[in-house]
Amino acid sequence: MLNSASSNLIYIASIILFLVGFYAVAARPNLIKKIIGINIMETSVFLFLIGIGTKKNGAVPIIVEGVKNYINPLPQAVVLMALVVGVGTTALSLILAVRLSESEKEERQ
Amino acid sequence: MTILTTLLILCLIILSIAVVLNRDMLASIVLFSAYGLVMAVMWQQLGAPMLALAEVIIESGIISVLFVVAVFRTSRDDVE
Amino acid sequence: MKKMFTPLLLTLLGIFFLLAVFKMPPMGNPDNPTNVVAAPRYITQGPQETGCSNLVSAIILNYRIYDTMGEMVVIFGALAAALAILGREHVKEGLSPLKVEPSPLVRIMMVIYIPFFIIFALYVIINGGFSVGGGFQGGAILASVIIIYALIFGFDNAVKRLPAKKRVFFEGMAILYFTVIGFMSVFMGKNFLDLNFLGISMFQKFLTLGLEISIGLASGVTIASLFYILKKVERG
Repeated sequence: MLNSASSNLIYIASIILFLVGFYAVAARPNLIKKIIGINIMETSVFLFLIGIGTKKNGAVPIIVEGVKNYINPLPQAVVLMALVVGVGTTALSLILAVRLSESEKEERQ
Repeated sequence: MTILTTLLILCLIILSIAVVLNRDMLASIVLFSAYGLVMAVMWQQLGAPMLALAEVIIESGIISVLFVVAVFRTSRDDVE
Repeated sequence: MKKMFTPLLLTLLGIFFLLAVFKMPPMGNPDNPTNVVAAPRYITQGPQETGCSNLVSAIILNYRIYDTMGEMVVIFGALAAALAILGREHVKEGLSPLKVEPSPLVRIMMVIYIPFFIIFALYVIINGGFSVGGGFQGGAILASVIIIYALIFGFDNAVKRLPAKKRVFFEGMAILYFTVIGFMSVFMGKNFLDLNFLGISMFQKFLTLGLEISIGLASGVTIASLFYILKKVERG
C-alpha cells in the first residue's frame, strides 16, 4: 500500500486539490471565491486525467522519425476540449454573479 | 517521481490553500494566477506541452482578468 | 452543527477517493489499460489516416470531431446565455474614461508588440497539425491580445475597433463551417463529418487547416465577447 502511494503521488495531490476546491465552494461566503473553488476542482481533475495518460520514458505525442514510444494522446485531447469549455462556463457564472449583486444593490436603494 | 515534481506538488497545495483562505479577493486572484502557472509547469513535466500552453494563456491569463473585472463589479472582501 | 458538517463531508470524500486511488495500478506503467486499449491504434494509424503528425490535433479534428463540434456549440451557448442575461455592451462617448492613464512607455511598447502577438497567434493556429499548438491555443492568444488592447487603450477604443456587428460573423463561423462540411460528407455518401469524403489526402489536409482556422477565430472572438459583456459599462 505504501509503495503504491509513493508512485501515485500525483493522484493523491489531485485529491487534495479537489478537496481544497470543494471547501471553497462549500464554506466561503463570497460568490467569486466559490467560482475560484470550482476552477481549482476543475484543474485538479485535469491533473488526474493527465496523470492517467502518462507513460514511463514516453515521448510527447508528436510523430518524429525514429521514435516508437509515445504517450497516449486521448486524455490530452479530452482535457484540451474541457479547458476551453471551462472558460465559457466560468465567464457565464461570473456574469450571473455580477447580475445577482447588481440586483441586490438595486433592492437596497 | 523526480524531486521537481514533488516540489511542484507541494507548491500547488500551498498555493491552493492560500487562494482559498485569503480574505482579500484581489490577492487571492493573483495567487490563483500563480497556481495556474505552476500547474502548467507540472503538465509540461508530465508530457503535455500543448495543454501547458493552453493552461498558461487561459487559466492564468484570461480567466484571471475576467475574475478581476467581476470583483470590481461585486465586492472585494470575503467575510460574512 | 452546521460548522461540523463541511469538515465531516470533506473527510468522508477524502477517504472514499483515497480508497479508490490505492486500488489503481502504478502511474506510468506501460501495461496499464490506458496504454494498451486504444492508444496503439491512434499512434500507429493516426498519421496515415488523418495527415496530422500532432496526434492530439489528429484526435480533436478527425477521430473525435463530433465532440469538437459539440464543444463549439457549448461555447456559443454560453455566449448566448450571457447575452440574454446582461446584453451587448453599449458604450457612449466619454462614459468610460481610463481611471489611470498608462505611462507612454507601456503604450509605445504595446504598439510595437501587438502585431507580433497576432502573428504568433496565427502561427500557433496554422501549425497546429504538425507541432505544439492548435486552434484553441491560438484562439486564446488572439483573445488575450484583444483583452490587452482593451485594458491599455481604453474600453471605448477596443469596442470601436471590433464592434459587435463585426464580431457576430466570427462567433457563428465555426458552427457554420462544421455543419457545411458535415452535410457535404453526408451528400457524398459517407458518415456525418467524415473529412476524407473525396478520398484525396491533400483535400483532407486542406479541410483540416480550415477547421483549425475557424476554431481559432471563433473561440478567440467568443472569449473576447464574453470579456466585453462582463466589462459592459452601465448607463448613467
